[in-house]
Amino acid sequence: MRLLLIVLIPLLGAWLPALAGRWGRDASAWTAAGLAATALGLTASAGPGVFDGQAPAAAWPWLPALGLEVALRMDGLALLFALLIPGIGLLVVLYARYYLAEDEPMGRFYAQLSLFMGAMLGVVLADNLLLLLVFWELTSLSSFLLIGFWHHRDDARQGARMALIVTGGGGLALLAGFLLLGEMTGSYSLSEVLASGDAVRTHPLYPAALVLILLGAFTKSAQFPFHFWLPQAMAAPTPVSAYLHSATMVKAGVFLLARLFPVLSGTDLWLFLVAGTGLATLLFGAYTSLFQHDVKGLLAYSTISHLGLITLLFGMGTPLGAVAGVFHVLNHATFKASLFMAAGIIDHETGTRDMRRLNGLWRYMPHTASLATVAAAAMAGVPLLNGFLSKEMFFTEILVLEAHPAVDWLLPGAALLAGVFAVAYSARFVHDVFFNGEPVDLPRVPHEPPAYMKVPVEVLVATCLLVGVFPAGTVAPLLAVAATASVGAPLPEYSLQVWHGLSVPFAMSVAALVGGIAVYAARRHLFRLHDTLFPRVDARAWFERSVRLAAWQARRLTAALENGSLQGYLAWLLAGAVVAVATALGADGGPLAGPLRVAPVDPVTGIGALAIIVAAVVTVVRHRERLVALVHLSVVGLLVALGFARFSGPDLALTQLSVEVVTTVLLLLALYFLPSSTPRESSRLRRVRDLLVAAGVGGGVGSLTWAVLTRPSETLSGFYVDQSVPGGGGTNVVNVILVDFRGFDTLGEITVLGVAALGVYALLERLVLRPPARDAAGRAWDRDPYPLVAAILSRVLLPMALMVSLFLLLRGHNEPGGGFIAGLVTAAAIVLQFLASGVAWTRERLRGDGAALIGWGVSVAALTGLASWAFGRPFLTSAHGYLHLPLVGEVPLASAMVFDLGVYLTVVGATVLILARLGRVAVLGRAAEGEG
Amino acid sequence: MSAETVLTALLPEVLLLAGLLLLIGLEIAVPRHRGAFAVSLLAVAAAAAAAAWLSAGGSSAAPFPGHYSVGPDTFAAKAVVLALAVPVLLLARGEFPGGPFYPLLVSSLLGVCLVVSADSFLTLFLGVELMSIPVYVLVVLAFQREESAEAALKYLVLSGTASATFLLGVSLLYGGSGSLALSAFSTALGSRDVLATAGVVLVLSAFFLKAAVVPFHTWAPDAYEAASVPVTAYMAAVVKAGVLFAVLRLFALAPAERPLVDLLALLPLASMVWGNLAAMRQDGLRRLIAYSSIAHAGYLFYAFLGDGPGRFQAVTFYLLAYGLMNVLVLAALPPAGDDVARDRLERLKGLFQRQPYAAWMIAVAMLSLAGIPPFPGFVAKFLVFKNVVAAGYPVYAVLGLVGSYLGLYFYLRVIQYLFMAPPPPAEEASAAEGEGAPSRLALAATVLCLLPAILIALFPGWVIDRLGG
Repeated sequence: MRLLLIVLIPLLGAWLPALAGRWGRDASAWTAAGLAATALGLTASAGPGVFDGQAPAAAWPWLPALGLEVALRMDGLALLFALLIPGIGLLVVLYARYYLAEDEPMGRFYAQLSLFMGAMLGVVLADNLLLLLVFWELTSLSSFLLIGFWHHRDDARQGARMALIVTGGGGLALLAGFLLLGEMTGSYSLSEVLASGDAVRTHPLYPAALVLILLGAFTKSAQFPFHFWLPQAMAAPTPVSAYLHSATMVKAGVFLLARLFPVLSGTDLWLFLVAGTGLATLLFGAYTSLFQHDVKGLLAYSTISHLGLITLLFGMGTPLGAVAGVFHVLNHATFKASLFMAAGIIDHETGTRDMRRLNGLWRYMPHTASLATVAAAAMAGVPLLNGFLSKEMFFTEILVLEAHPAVDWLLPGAALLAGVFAVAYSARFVHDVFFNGEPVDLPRVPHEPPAYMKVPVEVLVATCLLVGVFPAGTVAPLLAVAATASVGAPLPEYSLQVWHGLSVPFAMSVAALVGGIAVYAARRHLFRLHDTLFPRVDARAWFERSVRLAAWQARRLTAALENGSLQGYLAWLLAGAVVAVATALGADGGPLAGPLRVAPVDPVTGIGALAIIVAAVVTVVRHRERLVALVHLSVVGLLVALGFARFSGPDLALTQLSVEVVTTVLLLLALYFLPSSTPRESSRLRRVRDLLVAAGVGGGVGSLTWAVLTRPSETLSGFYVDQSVPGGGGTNVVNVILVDFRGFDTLGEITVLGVAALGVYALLERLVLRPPARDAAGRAWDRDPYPLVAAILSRVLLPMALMVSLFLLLRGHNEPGGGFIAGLVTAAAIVLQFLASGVAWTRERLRGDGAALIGWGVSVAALTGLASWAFGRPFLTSAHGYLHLPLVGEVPLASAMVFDLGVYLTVVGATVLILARLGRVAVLGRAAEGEG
Repeated sequence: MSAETVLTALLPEVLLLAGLLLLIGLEIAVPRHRGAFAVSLLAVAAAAAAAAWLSAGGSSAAPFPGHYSVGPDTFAAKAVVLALAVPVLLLARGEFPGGPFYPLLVSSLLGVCLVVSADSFLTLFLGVELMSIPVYVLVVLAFQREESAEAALKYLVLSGTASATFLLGVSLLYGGSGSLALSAFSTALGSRDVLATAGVVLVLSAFFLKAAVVPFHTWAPDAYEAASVPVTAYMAAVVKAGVLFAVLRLFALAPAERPLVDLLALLPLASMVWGNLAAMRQDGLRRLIAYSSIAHAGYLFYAFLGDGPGRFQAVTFYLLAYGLMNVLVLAALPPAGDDVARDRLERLKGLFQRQPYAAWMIAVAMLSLAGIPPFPGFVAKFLVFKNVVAAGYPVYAVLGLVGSYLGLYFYLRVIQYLFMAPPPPAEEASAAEGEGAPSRLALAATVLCLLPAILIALFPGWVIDRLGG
């Protein structure tokens, strides 16, 4: 519970400082300090147990199915960080109280700071990989908010976004890595993962997991080449830089290296990747730092360099390397935080951070200057300060590290070089800012800051000194438990002393000091050389350019591919489907043709097929003349109907015929509003594309049909044929299937039909079409649009058609016919009236409401189904009997008949509804034309 | 089976149908009535509650054997979909005071329910069409822009082509198996027969289109942009859910096998990359959401790489988290003078200063959609990717995460607009002009999205247990 409180108090209490902001800046600061102090106190109270070798742990299930649980554990490593985070946090709270200006929203600042503190404590205390990841991303988010704190500034917004894009991307890589790690070990519990190091290192997925996890750690800890977000993050207020971007958050990456050290380290890949990256970062950061003119920029690159150093120490994979790494985390946090705070004081008091203008500040602020000088000396690795101790350990370790004999000298040489640059930039920081003549053109006259603003710096510098002089008496026990926990095994002998005698590492330290001073003395030449030798290699610019390029390319591609052309989209769709099927089949490699032989073609069928092909080709070729194309299309439809009739499907033939008639007539009605020919719009290229797509689709469907036809099929038709009379009381199998066996589907279908009709109805509601006064050739329409002959004929046809449809409806159960066909015949007859006698005439006489008809139809069908429940039978169970009517013959009185009536009504209703609406459009259009 | 059992099993559908009939009756009997909103809200909420209650009861039945069956899973799915429709309805009140919107929406929901319970291809097809056809009309209904009709037409034609593809696929499967039962699909998954494979791929292509997976996604940006806010929310949250539930129903517990695995991985992967890339430079919020939904369709289909039993949980949880967040964004979007202005992303600049609540809501939704912990989108994404890794496709999982990394950029862009970009003074006046506070119903909708989102963020385990599986 105590562990949970350590995390939750700053996390959930984060809104308290914002609330307290109403009672003034101090109230807000005190609240934030209270949160940090509580967390610190709770951690300290758990400390003695950890020193005794215990590791208090607690777990609550969160998402057990996934292995995600709220598991916290405090071992030595976690203790070290859990002391560091609220400890420095407390100092930063105090510092920020004086740093932020009167009019800045202090409540918001402290709230975000507490949020970060809680998240960071969560990272170090988590005993579950996924929980760690959750907190990890939370630190990225709160860092995003804090960098963007001064959101009126452009650089702050950009810096915030870049930091989150880089570290957030790292977080995703980490998620992938943890997923793989969890897969390898079978658990996401950190304790269990730590115990299965051997299994992980020999697993085939190990390299992938390692690379992904390292990506997460390296982006967070600003390792080369992902370092560029950190200098950009310096747009944050300086307390944030001191806290997040030097002391704590950027340490999360190296913390992860320390945490997973027992699992992942010890392989060549680890050595190569981690030590290599660390070394590159160490050198790059140290070198670049020297050439910064911005004080915070210098400190940022120096931070990158020191993070590289820590990474290198862990990368060596030796226990003593890990000890030195942990030690340097602590030392770097203290001296770099104090340096940032000093830089903030300087910025605050002088109004600039440019080292070319800041000179000779010693005279104006001697107290601050002396504190900063001590801290900078620690950074340079001057003896009697903490930085010296860990650097000494680093030199020792790098000397014993075994590398290839040819490059044996390379690693110590590189280390020495980095040491030289570290001394040089530290010297530059001290000398340029505090000495080196008089300040140039400062915005303000500098003086010492308020006393309390210096307290945090004093505390940190005192720590540097104490640890530097009495390492064994102060930090040794904490370092021992932390390093033991990190290594996961008892540590070998090592001594934490200021004086080791005249050894090679000491000689290297001295050489670095002397060399560094010399380099700084020769800085003018070096600067010139730097400017001429190195073109500005700016990873940030690369990053921004690639983001811009990606976005630009995306925009170009969207403009090109998604240009709003329906034809293009259809081509995508069809080509996509063809390619998908072809790929799947190609990979599968099964035979296309089945075992059956194809029956020979008789002349009649052959001629029919040929006619269909010809009609289809003519439709395509003359598609720009709309009427001609429509006529040919209907030829295709009629021939298909004939085909059904020939292959023993009279019902299908009837249905196809009536559907064909009704749709053709509807299309003719629509043609009335359109010009008689389509203009030529497609380019040759597009026609070629369309030809290819059409050939692909046609060929594909054709070969699939071939495959179907050459295979023996075991279908259900036998069952339906056998069961038609006993089960459904009808000999027309198709109709019995529709209204009885699959009545449920039919009910659904007529519902969909009704909804579709209502949809068309609604769509046409606001449509006003003006019928063209002349056709394409410029001829006026006939003055008598409704010729008498057609009108008379259609009126005679109407009662006959109604009789036929009644006949079809009644006999449908046994002979070809049924509700669907009957409905279509009725609909065709009504459409004919519209065509022959005009909309106005027909509307006047045909008062039927299409919507109501649909409603009745669906209700009748549904009620038939429901009625069977009244008899305790399942939905749509049918009952049947027979009735003999004169002329019609045997009329089956199946309950399905009633159902069929519903189908009939719906079909008629849907057609009438659409027609009526189209007619209204025409009437409105004519009225509009009349006005115009 | 007695009428009572059947009625209980069909309770959500019956309630929806009753609402639909009442709506139509009102339309006929009372001209210019204003009760449509209340009736449909009541019907949908009652149906959602009924589905949740039945799911908790763990009952299962087959009211229409071979066509239609229900179980705890289907009830949970229905509860999710219907619950997502409630905030959508709240949003619609302002845009559609009456008229055909409500009956169309309710019939589309009925279609979704049909899809979720379908046992045969015919029922499934009916459900999908009943779900989609009203949406074509809904897209054009508000007619706020010139492009609305064009977009609706494109949607109609492309979706119709997909239906044709579906039917071709089904007839191939039917030809091969002689059965119209959905199980023919999962059987065909394991078959190496040409017809079976072709049928499966064709059916899948149709659903790829309906869910907007690259390269079948082209209709989505136009349609999402052309529709009005509630309709966009409905398409993004509910229709997508319906389509995914249909695919879940098709796959059942069958594992994906090669060569289908590559299709199931590569096209969704392309969706993630393309959706996220294209979203980078969009100027309109609804177009942005469209591209984001294309990417999310990719994540959702990724779940099918995983093993059968975990699939339902992963997809349902994802749909819940993703749907809630999409509706939340659109609900929190402050109203403005005209639709084009309302949609402009630029107008979100500095929203935090003007309307902090709305800004926070949009930010939460964006972070969740980006999959950043501790927001619910993270757990959803994690569930999917964990299943992919567990099924033995670590490479695809890693590639998918890389794809989702691209999305981070535009989600953050929105957040920076909200919090960190004060509009330039000249634009501030025009931005604030016509910008009202969200209506009370829209606020209620945000709360309805936010509370469950908090619930699934804090207690994902509890929610996943409720989702059965």
